[in-house]
Amino acid sequence: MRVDRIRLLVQFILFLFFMYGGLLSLSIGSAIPTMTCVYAKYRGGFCFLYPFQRYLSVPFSTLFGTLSIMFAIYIGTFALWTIVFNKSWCGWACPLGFIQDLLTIIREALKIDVSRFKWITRYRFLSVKYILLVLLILLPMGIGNSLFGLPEFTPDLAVPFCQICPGKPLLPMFHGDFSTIGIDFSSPTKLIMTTLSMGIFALLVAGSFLKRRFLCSYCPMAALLSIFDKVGLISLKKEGEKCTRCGNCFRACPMDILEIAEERDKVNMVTQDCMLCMRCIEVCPENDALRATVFGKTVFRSSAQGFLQRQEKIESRLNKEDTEL
Amino acid sequence: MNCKNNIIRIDLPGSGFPVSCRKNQRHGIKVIFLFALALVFSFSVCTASAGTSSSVWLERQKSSFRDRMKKKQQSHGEKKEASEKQGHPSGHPGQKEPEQHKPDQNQSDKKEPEKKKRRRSPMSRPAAYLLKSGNFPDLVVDSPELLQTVCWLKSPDQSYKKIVPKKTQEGILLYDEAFQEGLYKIYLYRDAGIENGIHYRHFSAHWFRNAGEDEFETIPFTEEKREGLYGEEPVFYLKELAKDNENNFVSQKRYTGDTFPVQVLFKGVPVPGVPVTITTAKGWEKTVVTDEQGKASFLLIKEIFHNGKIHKEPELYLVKAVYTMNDPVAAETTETTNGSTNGATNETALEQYSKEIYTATIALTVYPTPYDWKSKSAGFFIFTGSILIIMFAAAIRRKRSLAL
Repeated sequence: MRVDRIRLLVQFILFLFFMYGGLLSLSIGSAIPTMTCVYAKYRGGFCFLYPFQRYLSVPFSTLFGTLSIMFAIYIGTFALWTIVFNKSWCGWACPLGFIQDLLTIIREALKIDVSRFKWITRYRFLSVKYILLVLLILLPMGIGNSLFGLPEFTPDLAVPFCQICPGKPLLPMFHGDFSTIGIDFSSPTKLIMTTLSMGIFALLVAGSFLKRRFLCSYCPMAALLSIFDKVGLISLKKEGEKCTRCGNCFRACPMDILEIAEERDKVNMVTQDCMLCMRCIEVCPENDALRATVFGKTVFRSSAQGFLQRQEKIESRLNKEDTEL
Repeated sequence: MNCKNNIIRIDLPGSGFPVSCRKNQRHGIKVIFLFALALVFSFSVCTASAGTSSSVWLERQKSSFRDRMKKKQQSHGEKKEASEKQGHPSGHPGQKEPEQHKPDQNQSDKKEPEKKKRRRSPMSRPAAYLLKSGNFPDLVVDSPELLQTVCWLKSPDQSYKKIVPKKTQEGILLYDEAFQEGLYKIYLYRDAGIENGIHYRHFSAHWFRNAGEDEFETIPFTEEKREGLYGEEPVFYLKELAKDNENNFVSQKRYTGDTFPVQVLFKGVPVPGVPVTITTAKGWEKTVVTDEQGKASFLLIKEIFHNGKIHKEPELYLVKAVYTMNDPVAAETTETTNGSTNGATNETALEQYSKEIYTATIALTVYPTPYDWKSKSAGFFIFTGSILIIMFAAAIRRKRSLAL
């Protein structure tokens, strides 16, 4: 069975858990490093970013006073989840990622070609997620505190990222809740934020028909996870000597990561955009050039034999389609 | 004593202020005459005992208040334990030490089982309510008559606990740790006395959900007499039939534009033909008579308009049902011969009165509907417009790249 099919199955199961786990009183807490929305009623746990922004919006005296232990436990829980599962949260668990993958399947069925940005554009956009991360930290901080001598920000800016996250209008829909769709005219801040939210939601839907995992390149959660990507217990290793730079891994990568094909000196290939989908290992034709490790032990490795078997299957399928035509 | 306006009220959490009770309307010259009479009478009553002619209501306090009260209770308990350890029994300093406090050699050897320290889940809060009396806006927080209100707390494990109102610095307090996870119900009963051959009884019901803790001590169910209750519910019960309110943590808010269905039950049986009145914060009221199933429904009207400023604060609406029972003594006698009990009526059955008036109230917090300032259609247009723009731009870009 192909890795991307196994991944889709795992994503589907976890999607059901994260979206409807609450109906069975199942929850894995509020420090989950993936985009499970707090606005979804029957969720089985929710995204780390919502309480994180809430914590940051209280005055520093409280945050580092009475709330300090709670905050430290909370950050520690997030770090633990991240160190154990690393970026596989993005590739295997994220509900928004799963929806984008489904839209990609629809796009492929409709035979719409995938787009690629120019490299200059791509590198320019790499910083967007870090800018969003800085904003989602600074804006809530400015609500409860005076930053750089500025007056305190309006409470309408509370949880700024959640206000513009496409998960907010999208995920509650799976519970029949459409109340998060709409434009809020109660204040200029709310008006801007809700308009941005609708625009980004549209970007998610339309972008998925243009590029695989369109919004994941700009996700601040990916930026947060990348802090731990070198110490994660699940890892992607490369042996540069065995790589022939054929470029199969780059072409298969949903995130268009060029380093996976170009780098020959690096061993740990979990880059800032990598989501550990393991697709690169599957398509690599060289023995042991790429391998996935858990606790340092190899669980999946590239092999010429496996590559050839898959090629045969693909060729026979293409031939069958040709004869049918 | 004016009993007609003695209405027990419960104010839902987060509400802003209570609403005054609408007094019975009088007409013509009678109004002036009765007003003058009432003024003289009420002055004499008020000088004798303050607050007897005022309505009673219950306000659930915010979490900061509840935490403060919890700390007070804990510190009080710790001080008490410490003083008892030092050999000072609780009670008046000059009081003689009771026998049971004298150290017993045999008993001192036996170690008391350590009390398990109870731990709250983060979202759990104790229930702390302030009982208040008076008609809006003149509220009295320390009226002695409030201390006689009977309050039953029905826990999620279906056990009943009588909460005794206590006088504190903040006012008359009803407090319970509310450790259990699930739905709590509070039933209030007050016997407002007899006036002009009419016996007035007031009931109210309120519920709240608590996150609680996972493990709790189950209080054994006892068949004790519960004053004001008939079986497991108030004798006269104005029951909310709102959407899934007892099973849903999320949809507890009520918005203007929602319907608010209620059912009137007397001793567990639906009562048709009972007038149920809703009164809004600004005094608008509407009366609906219950149908054969004892049901009535109201539309929560919008009273606040957003002129220049958006108002998101909730308002308090009051729903009141009044049931008049003629010849209650005969009814009580029939009930007694049939073997059933009525906690509310048997105490005063010997007294002579021609009829009884039962009043039940619900105070509900109503939020302005968010669709006053929120537009779904605008969101939909921006969403679809953005999709079209993105797709159109992508198509043009592809066409250009193909041409190159």
